[in-house]
Amino acid sequence: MNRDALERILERYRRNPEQIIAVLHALQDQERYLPEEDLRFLAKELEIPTSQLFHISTFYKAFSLKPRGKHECKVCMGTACHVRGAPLILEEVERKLGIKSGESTPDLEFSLDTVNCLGACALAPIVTVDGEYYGNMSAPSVGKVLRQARAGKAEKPGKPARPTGESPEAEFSQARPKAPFLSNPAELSRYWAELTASQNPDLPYLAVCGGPGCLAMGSKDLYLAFKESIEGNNLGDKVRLNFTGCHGFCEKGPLMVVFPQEIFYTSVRPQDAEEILTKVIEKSGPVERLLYRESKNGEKIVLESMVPYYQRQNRLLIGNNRFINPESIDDYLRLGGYSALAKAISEMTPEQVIAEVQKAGLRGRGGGGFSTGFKWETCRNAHGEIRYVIINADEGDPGAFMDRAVLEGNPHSVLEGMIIAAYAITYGVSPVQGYIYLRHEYPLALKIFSRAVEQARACGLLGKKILGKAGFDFDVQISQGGGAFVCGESSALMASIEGKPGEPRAKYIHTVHKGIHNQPSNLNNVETYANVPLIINRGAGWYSSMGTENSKGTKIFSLVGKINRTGLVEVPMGITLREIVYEIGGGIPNNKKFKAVQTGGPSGGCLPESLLHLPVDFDELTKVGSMMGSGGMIVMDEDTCMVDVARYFLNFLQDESCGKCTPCREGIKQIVHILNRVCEGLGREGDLRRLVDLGNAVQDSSLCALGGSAANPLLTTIKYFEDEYIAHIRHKRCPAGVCKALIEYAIDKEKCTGCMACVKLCPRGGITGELKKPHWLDRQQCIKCGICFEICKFDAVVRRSVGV
Amino acid sequence: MADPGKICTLQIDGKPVSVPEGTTILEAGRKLGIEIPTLCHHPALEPYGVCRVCIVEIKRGKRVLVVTACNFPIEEDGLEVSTNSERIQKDRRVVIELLLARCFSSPVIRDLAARFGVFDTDLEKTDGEECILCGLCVNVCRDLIGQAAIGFESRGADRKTATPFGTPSEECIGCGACVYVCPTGCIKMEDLPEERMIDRWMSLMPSLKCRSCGTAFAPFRQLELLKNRQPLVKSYWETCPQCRAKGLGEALLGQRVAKKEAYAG
Repeated sequence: MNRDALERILERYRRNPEQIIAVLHALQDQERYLPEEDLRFLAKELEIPTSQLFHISTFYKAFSLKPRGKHECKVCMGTACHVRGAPLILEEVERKLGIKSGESTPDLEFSLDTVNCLGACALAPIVTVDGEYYGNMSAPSVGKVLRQARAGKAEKPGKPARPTGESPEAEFSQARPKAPFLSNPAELSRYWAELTASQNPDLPYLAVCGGPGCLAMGSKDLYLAFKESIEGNNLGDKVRLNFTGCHGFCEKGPLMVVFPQEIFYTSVRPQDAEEILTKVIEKSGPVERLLYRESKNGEKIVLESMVPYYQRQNRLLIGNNRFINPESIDDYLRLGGYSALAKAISEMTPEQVIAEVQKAGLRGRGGGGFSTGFKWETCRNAHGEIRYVIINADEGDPGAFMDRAVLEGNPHSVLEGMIIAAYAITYGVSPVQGYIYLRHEYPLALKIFSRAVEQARACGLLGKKILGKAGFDFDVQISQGGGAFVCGESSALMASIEGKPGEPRAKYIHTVHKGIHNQPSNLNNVETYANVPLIINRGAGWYSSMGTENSKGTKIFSLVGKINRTGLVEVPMGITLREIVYEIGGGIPNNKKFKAVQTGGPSGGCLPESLLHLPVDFDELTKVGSMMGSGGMIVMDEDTCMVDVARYFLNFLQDESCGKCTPCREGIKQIVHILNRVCEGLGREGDLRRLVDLGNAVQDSSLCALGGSAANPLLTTIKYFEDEYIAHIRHKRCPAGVCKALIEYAIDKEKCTGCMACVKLCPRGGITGELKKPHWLDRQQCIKCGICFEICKFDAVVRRSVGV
Repeated sequence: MADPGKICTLQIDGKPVSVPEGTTILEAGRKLGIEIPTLCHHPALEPYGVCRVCIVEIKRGKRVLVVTACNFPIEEDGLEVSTNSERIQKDRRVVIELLLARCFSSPVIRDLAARFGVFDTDLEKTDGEECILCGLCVNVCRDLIGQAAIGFESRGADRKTATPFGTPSEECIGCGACVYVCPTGCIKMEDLPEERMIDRWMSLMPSLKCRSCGTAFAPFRQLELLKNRQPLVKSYWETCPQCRAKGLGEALLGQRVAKKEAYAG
């Protein structure tokens, strides 16, 4: 890149060496890789040792030192995608492009990568090409997708999909007044009154869901269709339209709700817009065919709150998404936004705020479950010249997108919680600086949160003398991640914020005492902060009335995998896993049997049917070897192989380990090696014992929490599904029919209609036959890609487990 | 915060010991003559705590934790440390076995493993690797020498020590500090007739020849740095250590002879 362009990037980030990751993203975006001479130049300009910059460039997955292809193809390997067959999709893409993941084609047309989770699990399995989402992929459709990408066509097979990196709000017109500068709490309530008065509560309000799932299913086109129709028919004053954050029920997207009646429509297409609008204006009842039904012939349900999926939920944090355009601070203020902040700084001392949060029993939602109030108190009492208050928005668990939904749907609720925290922790003791550490894989969240910060500044909710409070100055800097799961760990996250490789540090001192630049630093998760305004507004008594003895409030989960109703659920603590899986999630599709539910992501464990009575509670889940985690909940059925699941998670962790300490780096590698062997039918007697010993040692002796919990998926699957391991090791069988080396495909002559579909698609030409005559599969040729199995409409291709 | 005068009393393997607050378990153990094995520890550098060979078990009230002795600071009375409990023996054996599998060709690691009764392993062995990624070379170069000529590359199982972009580092001065601290001896250094070579980093540094004997003895760049740090007479840096010692000896002898002659005279 030429020096001027590099200089411009440097200026954009104020030559701040802390912002090196953002600088590298900018360089990589333009050049499609990081050229060596540019890196050397940056090292000199920012006074970073070249060796360190080289480490950073090779540490974070988002960067490449080699030129990348014109089209970026990414295969999502999140847990939800994995259990729905992503590995077969990846193999097919690799075969079609002739390259492995992480490589580019020689003609530099395509680059292929895997991503850990795109956060649109309802569409699993997913492939993206140049940011376009292709959901519900199957191996046979890979060729089509790639051909179209090469030709640069927009048409896609399967469900329509839309880029989610782009803001859905690009065209949103701001007809309403822009929030003024609010120099004290009284002005805030005056403005609130003004906002409320300016709006007729009976005015029909259409909330179109723009969450990642709905967006990928085409909800932006739906929104635009409504907008066009409203403008074309001059209905601007008869109806209010909003394009909002995630509503939750991703399975049925695109979703929308019509208020004030609260009519719930599912799978709405742009061509339905006109009809819905007509009904709304005529006040003539719902559009019957778009109403939700439990089953094909089930009863139609009109109201959103009557839908079983929502009935057991308590959507305190994500419920407001429906009423908010995430880019409008007015929408948030209208709902009483920032009144908790006003109350905290005008009616409460910092100590009282901390006491209230402590009394409420709020515990960290990032997975640790540490008492938030206690953490704040410790940070306030720690010694330091400045304090840092940080949002952990590095939602790295595959199969989890709760934080994304909150950040992209209601960013100000998180920001408000954070400002209250800054007041409680630092007011009267030291200056404070805020950071949000945001995952690079969520470009929309970055855009929306940046906008929220700008608006808050313009309104006097960030900056000097917030809401007129003398001595309360606070602002937030946005730090971007670079694609490293380990950066969710507090000391690694802070190293990354300082512009270093995201490695945890080996020190027996908590970041609350010595975090960023060795100063007291308070780190909370997105969801934790979002709870704070509720607690301040409604009181600790109200908050702690929800939940179990030691786990209060609600928790958001992303319910994905082999489940009928996929999406985001917010449930009161204490609800049982069974209630979530069966009553909210509607059980397992295709009459299959439930096998396990995985909570806590790669640090959590797999729980069997016998533990479904457990309540959602930090301590109860830890007791059985899993954890609450940040909120991924992946359901697995009889077709899921638990050894393969363990291998999946350990493989993930092997890729994501920073490699600093021996047990995590070497131990996980060895565990994966043994699991590979077991899945290939080469397991030996004694492997099980070996796995447990390795797992225990990695758990005990690793440097940070990543290694410390890495063995959980392994140890819980061995504990609860030992028979599957034994089947693999001793009988060389994969009971679920997943492990490739242990299965075979065959054609059922009775069922085969001779349609030739599999004959045409088999990549090895291994199936022969004539039209209307039963086909024949040559097992010598078969590479077990599963394409014939996927394509056969008559269930004539069978996949069976073979024992040796 | 640490009160400089505070003394903490604790027990290591049942033996009581009192140490100033902030002392590490490793140091306290040494005071008692209890040797806790380490690989990535060097007294001149901040503890890095990554090899995990020095793990010990501590009891704090009811909680039992596994920590690394090299960097766990003693800050309270009554800590009970066990350096050799069953759990520690088991875990440490695994850690050592993991290192052995990684560096089966390293005599140092094989010796260490043998001390713990690990002579072979059925884990997957890596061929020809002798680096255990203890980080001492990287840390000494950055923190003591101040050059940061070498660093790490990549992450996870792919992590390795490296020069930037895999090319000879512009910052290397050929001082060899990395060679001296490497616990497995996998960084080799050689003084050639004209220059010094450190193979692993592809460093080839032109060296100054001794004014007295003519042997190339230290890279110019290293001497440059030393000159700036140690204000000694210029000529000190122009002779090799051997000649320097010899020169000093000759000078002393000369004085002696002169004295004797004067006396005799």
